[in-house]
This record gives sequence, structure tokens and C-alpha cells, in this order.
Amino acid sequence: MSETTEIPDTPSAPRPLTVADVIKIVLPDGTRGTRRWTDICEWPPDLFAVVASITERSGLYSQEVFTAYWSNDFVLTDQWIKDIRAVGSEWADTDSTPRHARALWRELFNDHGNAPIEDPSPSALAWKKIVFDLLVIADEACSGVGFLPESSEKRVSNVQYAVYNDYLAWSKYCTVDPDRVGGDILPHLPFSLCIHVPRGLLCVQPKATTPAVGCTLRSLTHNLALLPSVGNVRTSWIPASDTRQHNEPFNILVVPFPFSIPGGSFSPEKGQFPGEARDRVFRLDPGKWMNRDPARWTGEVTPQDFADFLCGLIDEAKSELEPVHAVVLPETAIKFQLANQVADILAAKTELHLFLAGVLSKESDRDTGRNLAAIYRFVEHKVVQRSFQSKHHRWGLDGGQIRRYQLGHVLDPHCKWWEQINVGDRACYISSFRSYATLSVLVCEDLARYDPVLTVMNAIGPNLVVALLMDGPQLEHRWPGRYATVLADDPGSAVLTVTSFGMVLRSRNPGEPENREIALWKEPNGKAQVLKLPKRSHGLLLTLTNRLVEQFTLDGRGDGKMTMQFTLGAAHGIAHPNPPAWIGPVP
Amino acid sequence: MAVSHDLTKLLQENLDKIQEPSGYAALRKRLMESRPKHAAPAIKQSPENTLKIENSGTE
Repeated sequence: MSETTEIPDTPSAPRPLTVADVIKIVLPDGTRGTRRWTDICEWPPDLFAVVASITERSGLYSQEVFTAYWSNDFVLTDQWIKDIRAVGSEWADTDSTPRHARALWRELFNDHGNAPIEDPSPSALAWKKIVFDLLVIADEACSGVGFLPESSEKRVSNVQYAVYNDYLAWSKYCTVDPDRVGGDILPHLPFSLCIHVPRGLLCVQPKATTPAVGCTLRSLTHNLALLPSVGNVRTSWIPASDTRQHNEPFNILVVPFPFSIPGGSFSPEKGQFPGEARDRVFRLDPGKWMNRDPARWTGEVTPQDFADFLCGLIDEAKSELEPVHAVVLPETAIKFQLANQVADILAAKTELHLFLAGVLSKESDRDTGRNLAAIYRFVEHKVVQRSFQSKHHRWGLDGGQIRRYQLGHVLDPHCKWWEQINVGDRACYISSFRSYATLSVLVCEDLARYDPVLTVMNAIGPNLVVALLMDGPQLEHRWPGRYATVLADDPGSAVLTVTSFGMVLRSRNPGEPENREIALWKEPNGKAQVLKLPKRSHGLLLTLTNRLVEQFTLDGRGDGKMTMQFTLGAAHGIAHPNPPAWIGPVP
Repeated sequence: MAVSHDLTKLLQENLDKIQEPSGYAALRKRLMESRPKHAAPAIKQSPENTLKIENSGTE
């Protein structure tokens, strides 16, 4: 005999969050700054911020009406795509909001403002369809934002022109004050395209790649990305300095410096974390690997020495191809001040467009120091942009890693050793380094940790992601290969991971054959390619070919072949003809 | 992050190659009129990012 269980009433809960609540949270001063919400936003990225927030919180995009063409209720017909694109296009090209968009907004706010955001019932489809339409209209109105065509032969909309013009205004102010935020119209540049949406709540940025897999908000847009607040991570989008369409390959010289790393470079610091934890900290000392020449061990390696070494490799690479467009050094390769001076020399002496280097910075003895990705852009023999992206997560060396890298004599393998760095000031830079080609750099751990920087990578989808690592051999089955594959799959970025030859060499037991896998390449729809440093070589010259491909949103809108995809075309070992003794022996 | 006058010059040159869309002036005027009234809190970057670029690359 079974007993009847009496179920009590559902406990009382807070009032359900409504559509109007979200609108008022995202736009606290109203749609146009007048504390009124009845009229639609005047600026498409503001509208995107609010309808994307409703979309995200309601999960409406996963319902069959929007995703299943075989369903009787499916609403996204060819005619719908044509009509909705026309509305977005009208907004982009005229100076006022289209009548259809205004009507949709009024209906949403006036008739459905009190609708609970989580309502899964069929009756909620009425407002969900409106939100979906407004999301696509805002995305279409922002077609091409963050980029600029070479000439007016290709259509340039008011919105696209306004955004680029304001980047120009911001860049003028930034030359005087590097902390400057805001252009003339857009108060949050370079962190957000919005006007009336607080950047402490969320940000909206241009977008480079539309994921070809999955069913998320990210697969619904070509042109705009919804990002976390600046308090979480500050993302800067920097437009290209050259709008010409480049068809020639992009050549990258990877220099896996240092070529040897003494164990003493890992220096344990006093003290430990509170509690019973056996967690301690260590510090890296680049001075230990910078000069490996016993004959001049008291002598400093100067910026000119280092730049001459890199220039020698660039010259040597010319026998295979020219020009070299970028030089990449792995994580913590050199010190911050040295990198700045080397960048100035490289800008003056070479045809490089980019110099990426892992650097260590420490202002004073009291300063914790930072592990940074230094990104230098060169144009016509000058540095035109310089940004430093702090590593967001500390490297934690456990006993297994300490033994694998043969470091048990300097770091107790029974403790966990954390890198002593400042992980505050979380920033992320998306640089458009060629027309319709964007680059982002990650530092080691950040490739593997989802929050916060990978959220940004997934939302924007840079065409090329370079991960600077201090790691062992770059093999597909190891963690860099796994996470590179994730990014290549969704959002569809090409990923290059780079480590130092010194760390690769430390990753073996005495007598075992040496590893030489200093880099790994993974492109969308392609196999991961392990890249080895040939014997007695000092660099790897990689040729990336590029092509524009068409991508489609989940609702079936193509982008007109506006997405750049990179493919690895060739790889060559480069040996310096007269390697300086301070780099140490390179087997 | 620091940018140089040269980048500003290049962005300006890119924009100069493009004909200003016909509705841009009206859009700009309207957006300027409805700009937010509050001053946003200042953002202070890490010290490395606040160094200005001074005539780099000149030998």
C-alpha cells in the first residue's frame, strides 16, 4: 500500500523578470537618454544590446520556430530574410529608424513589456518573434562596422561611416592621453559601440567570424558581438590602418627564444598562501636565460644585440621569400623595456607589420610584476600602436609538471607553485591588421581558461589567434592542441601556439630523444599541424594564405563573402648565418 | 594601449578615400544632441599601456 505524499504549494519567489525589466536595466536612462522607453533606440548597437540581452536570457533562439525549417511553425522564410534585411539596410543608409522597426519596438514595449522573460509557453512566441526580428535588424544595420572598404565603390553606410569616424576621433585623443575613452559620439570607444548602454553592464563590439556550428546567440549575428562589462574584461577593437584588400600571403617568423632555460630561472619566493595549503609562489628571471655566453656572462644583451639577431633571421628568410610581415616570440621571452627598444629598432630597419612578444614587466621591487603579451603594429617604419595584454591566470606548477620539466631541485614537487604575477587589469585587444583580418593574442593559461578572455574570443571570433606559451612540446593531444581545436571549431579562428625551444628541451628525461615541437597550427576545418624546429635552426618561417569565404547565420543570412580565413601554406626552418654566442648552443 | 599620430593620419587617409554617405551629417547631429549627460568614471590602464609613443622608428 502506498502512502500519498502531500506536496506543499510552490514557495513564494521574487516577481518574475519581465521584458520591460531587461529593457530598463540595459538602458537605465531610456532609449535616447530621456528616461523614456516607448520609442526605439536611435543607434543600432544600443538596440542590439537590449534585444541580445533578452535573447540570451530567454534562450528564444533555440525554439523550433527559429531553427527547424521542417516545422509547420517555422517563421524564417526566404521572404522573411529578404524583408528583414531591407529594414536593416534602410536603417544603415538613412538618418532615421525605419517605420517597421519603430512599430515592432512599440509593440514589444507596450504590449509585451510585462511578459516574463523565462516564459516557455506558445503564447510567448509573439514577443519572441519581435525580439528576433529586432535583433536581426540591428545586426543588418551594422553591416561592416569596425571595417572600412578601400573606396566608395563598395557601399558604405551611415552607421559604418559613423563608427569609423569616431574611431578616428578617439585615436586623436588617445595620442595625447593613452587612458582616453570615447570619441565624439560614442562615449565608450574603444571598449563598446553603445551610446546609452552602461559599459559597466555589458559591451558591444564589431565581429569578425560567425560560428558555423552550434545554436547560440553568437551564431545569430555577422556584425555585432555581445560582451561582458569592462569591469570583467576590457576589450579594445582597433581598426586597420590599411584598407587595401591584400591577396598576398602573410608571412610569420616564429623565433622560439630562449633556446635554453636554466633551472635557476625559476626562483621560489618566501612564504605561502594562508591556511593549510601547500601552495607557494615562484618568480621567473629572464636575466638567467638572456645571456648564455660564458665568455661574456657579466655583459648585458642590449636591445641592438637582440634586434640584430632578429634582423639576421629576417634577412636569412628572404632567400626563401619576402617580405616577412610578423615576428613572434613566445611567452616571457624578454623584458618589457627591452621589447620596447627592440620594437623601435625593428620598425626602423625592417618591413615588418607586426611584432608580438611575451614580456615580463616589473616596475619596482615593490611591484608584483606582470606577464604580458606585447603587440606592436608598424607602418612605414614606425610603431603606430602598442598594447600590452596582461596574462589573466597564473601558471600553477604541480608535482607532475615540476618533474617533467626537471625542476625538482629548485621547486619542491610536494608543493604547488604559482607564478607570482599581477593578474588584475584584464584587457583583450582585437587588432585589424589587414583589411577584414583581425588578430588577437593570448598568454598561455588564458588559452585554457574559459573566463573571461575566451568569452571574448568566442563572441568576436578573431580571424587569427596567436597563443604565446611557456610550455612543453606542442602536440595535438596536449592541452594547447585541444584548446586550439576548440577555438578553430567555434568561433572558427585560425590558431597558432608558440613556445620556447628552451622549455621544449626541458620537457624530457636525460638520454631521451629531444623534442622539437615549438609550434602548432590549427585552422577551421583543417587538421592540427605540429611544427618542429629543424636541427640548428633558430626560427620557423610560416606562410599563411588567405581567402574571403561566405558565412551564414543560424537564420540563413550570408555575409557576402566578407570573412577572412587563413590557411597554413608553407613552413621553413631558418638558421642564423652567424648566431651570437649569447643565445647559447642550439642543437 | 598607446597609438601614434601616424595611425591617426592613416585612419584619416582611409576615411578621405570614402565619400561621406548622404545621411551621415543628419545622423551625427541627432546623435550628438542625444548624447548621455553623465561623466563616466575614468579607466586607468596598467602602467605599461600608458606610455605614449614618441617618434618611434626614427634611426
